[in-house]
Amino acid sequence: MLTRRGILRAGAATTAMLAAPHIGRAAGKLSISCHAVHKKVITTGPGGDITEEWRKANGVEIEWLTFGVTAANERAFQEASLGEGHLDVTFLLDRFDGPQFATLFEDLGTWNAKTPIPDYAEFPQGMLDAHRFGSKQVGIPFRHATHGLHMNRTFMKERGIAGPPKTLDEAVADFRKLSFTRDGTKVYGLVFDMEDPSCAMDWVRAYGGDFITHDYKVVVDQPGAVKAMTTLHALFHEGVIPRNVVNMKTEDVITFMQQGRAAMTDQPFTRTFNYNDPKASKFPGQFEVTPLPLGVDGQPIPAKTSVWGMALPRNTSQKALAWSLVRHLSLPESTIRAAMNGNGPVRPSAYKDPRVIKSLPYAAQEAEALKHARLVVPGFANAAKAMDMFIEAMGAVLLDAKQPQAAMTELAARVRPLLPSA
Amino acid sequence: MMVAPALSLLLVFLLLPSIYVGWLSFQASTYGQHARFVGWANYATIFADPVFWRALGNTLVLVQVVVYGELLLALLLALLLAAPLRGKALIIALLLAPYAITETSAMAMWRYMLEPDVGLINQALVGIGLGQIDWVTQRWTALTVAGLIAVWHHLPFSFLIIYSAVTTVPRELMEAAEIDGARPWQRFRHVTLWVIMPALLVAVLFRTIFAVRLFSEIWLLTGGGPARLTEVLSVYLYRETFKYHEFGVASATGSIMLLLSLLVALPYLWRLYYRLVRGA
Amino acid sequence: MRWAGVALALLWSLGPILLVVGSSFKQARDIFATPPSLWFAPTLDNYRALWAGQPAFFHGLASSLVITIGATLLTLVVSCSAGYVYARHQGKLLQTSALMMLALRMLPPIIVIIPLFPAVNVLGLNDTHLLLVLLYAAFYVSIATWIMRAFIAALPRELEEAAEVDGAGMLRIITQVVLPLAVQGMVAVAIFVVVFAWNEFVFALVFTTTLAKTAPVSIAEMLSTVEGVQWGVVFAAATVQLVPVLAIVLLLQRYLVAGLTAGGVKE
Repeated sequence: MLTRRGILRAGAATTAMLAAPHIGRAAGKLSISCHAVHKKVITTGPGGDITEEWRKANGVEIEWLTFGVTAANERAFQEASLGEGHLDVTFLLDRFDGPQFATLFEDLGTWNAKTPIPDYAEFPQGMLDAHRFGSKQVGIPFRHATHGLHMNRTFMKERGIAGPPKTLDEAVADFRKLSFTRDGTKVYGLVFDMEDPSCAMDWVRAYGGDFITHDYKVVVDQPGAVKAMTTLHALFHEGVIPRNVVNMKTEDVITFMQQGRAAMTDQPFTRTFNYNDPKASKFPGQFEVTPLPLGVDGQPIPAKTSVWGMALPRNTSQKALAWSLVRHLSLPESTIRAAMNGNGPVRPSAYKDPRVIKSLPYAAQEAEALKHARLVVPGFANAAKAMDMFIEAMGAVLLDAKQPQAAMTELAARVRPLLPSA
Repeated sequence: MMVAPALSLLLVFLLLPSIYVGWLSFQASTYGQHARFVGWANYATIFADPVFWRALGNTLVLVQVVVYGELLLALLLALLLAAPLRGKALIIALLLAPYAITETSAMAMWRYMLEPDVGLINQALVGIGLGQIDWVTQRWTALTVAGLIAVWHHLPFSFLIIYSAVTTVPRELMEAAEIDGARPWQRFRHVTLWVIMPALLVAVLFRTIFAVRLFSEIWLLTGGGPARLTEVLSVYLYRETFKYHEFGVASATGSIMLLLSLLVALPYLWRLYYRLVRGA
Repeated sequence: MRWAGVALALLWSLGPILLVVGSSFKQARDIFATPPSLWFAPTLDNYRALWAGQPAFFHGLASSLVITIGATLLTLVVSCSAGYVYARHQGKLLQTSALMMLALRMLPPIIVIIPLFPAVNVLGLNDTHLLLVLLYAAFYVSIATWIMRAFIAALPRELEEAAEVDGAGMLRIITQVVLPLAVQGMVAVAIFVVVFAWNEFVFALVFTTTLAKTAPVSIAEMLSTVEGVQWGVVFAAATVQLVPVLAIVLLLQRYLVAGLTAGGVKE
């Protein structure tokens, strides 16, 4: 099949180039670009394939194009900016989506006014806002990924730690206690990824600080963030956090947790399935996940959350069909079934459904964490650049290139001109 | 007529896009917006960015290390294998093995060996009492490792060029020098080096051109981190394109890379021009 | 002394490769064992997991094969005809165009990604094998032409002249007289293109999604999965992907030497 197509195409090379044909799509096919995880929670697991009834009712097949996080967003923008695109539904992550791209997508508020999603009011305003620019609703929330504190119970027992830390001070003490050598392998108390500020923000907010507030104020040079950097710097140099944390990606964190090379991490709740996976983990069934402890102010730490939304590129020729699928995936029952498949449900009521409670051992904790959760940064055109600058400054602190206060002051000065009001 | 297909391939896929990049470098451009002329603003943005200067510096350093490190190793190997040796064909074949590997796999294997605590290299260092090295968390060690991997991956190329030149050194010339009482070092300096000089220059040229583009070694090893300390020009370009969607700034970076490459290649091209066209 | 040097060089070249091939036969828990286990019970588990769990990788291998064959054939056809003309005909314009080919080879390909993406989409070529075939051929056509030019220039003209007297056309002269004698150069060109096309990563990453996704991209994806990297399976995939091209390089290395000598290197 492949070979035949290859030969045909190679043979037709020049003609095809000159004729510039638009590769036509077969009727009855809808193309979706998303992360592999979205496809998984929509089509496989105890909740079954959520699209099945919809596909049968509409006589349409779905073509799934799955990518990594960055590539999924990138491809959506690329395709949406063309004269005629090949994608009908695209999944976007809040911090990639920016107002400068809003023109590329349909206003779903209009579509929802025509054929409303049942119980639309149930979606938390914060999640809707994550994909709303001005008056335009670019995306309908589909999935949230909210951070909890993951811990290896085997290590905790060995180090005499009774249960999850309740306060920030307890947590920091636990990180230190959990740094030890076990069977010749060095175990680190805390690990996180530094691809973007997601994980770092949990600790910045634990100390009462923030990076960019929802009303676009840069506060990263205030005492909270500086205190957080000072603490992380100390933990880094004590060997509580591994040296290569500065280059760590999500997949490295997973490897560290599965291999028993780290005891705790702040990552999305659903990651607990990976850490406990008997096929890949050295400690299956030993990982527990709870909401983050109380911060310095005695209030729950606002855990980082991110929201994936479903958007319709303006250049698709199948808008009505695409909206009907988005609507179907947003039904209360669909939300519940996707949650059973491991999705972070965007309707709070889903956490009360007995099927979800049975499938997600952490349902109650995640619902609790979600109440206080915050986005990494509010959406704006230069968000990606600002987040890179944060990671750059944090790296400079950890590696002793800059003092915490100096680094954060400089960071704030660099980020302020990038903000929309400036 | 029969050169048309070859030339049109180059025209469509390299020349026209390069010209377009030159044009785009004077525009502000991102998804969903029409390009807008901004003059030299993109270049000004780049030149005001300390990360760009660091990326340029890293690129230049890396290029020197990779090219001359590789050249030296390749020369040593070529001389080592110049003499008759049993199983030479097999040895050469085996030395070429890294050439056959895709950069993804090469980076996976090196990352695996350099892994802190559990990787082979760090375990060996601990074993002989040197302690661990945080390979990828410090600017210069990370760049060294990237350079080392680049040398490992591309040594076969330099080696082949130089080896095939070394084999063309006329035997009579060497024998004559030996009879005249020249010591091995003198024979190398006055005979071998003189014969293989053109090949050395070509190896330097090609490897320099390719090292300026160096991307995967850094991208897959450190992603330019920590704190963007290890970025090279192509990573800077990639980030501007795919992360910030600033196509104008990315194009300006591309134009600078283009000029850099042409600058390196110019003497060689000039010389060929004289030989081929003026001499024809 | 000499043998010590050779041994060191072999360790340097082959060490990392053997480590990966060896590790692909290890159980998952042995891969990061401390100290590393030199002796272990070999297992095919990683290969079984690769076969069962990574259909995308084998699809990628098939794509890589199609693209490699296509790019190699296209490069050969195009560079043989151009190489013949450059070797047998003089003229300022012609030789300048030969030089231009080499000059274009000096451009860093990564910069063409920016303008190429929209163009590729307009032509509907995104995620097709054809696009990568054309791109890879474009990247190698100049060096290939120079290699063929050098090989053909070294052939005696008499045979062609005899064929011409017998009334053979240019096409027949090239295919039946010249090319059979220039097989060495064609093999050299083929190896260069095969190795490049089989292994190329950046352009395949940017310009493919599912249909034309190549094996190196699929390996890179296995390295950045949120389900946790299965190193054993990655090493098995790396081994499977490496073996065919490694075999080609090892078996045909003498042509590589000949090709490099000819390809504009020796003046």
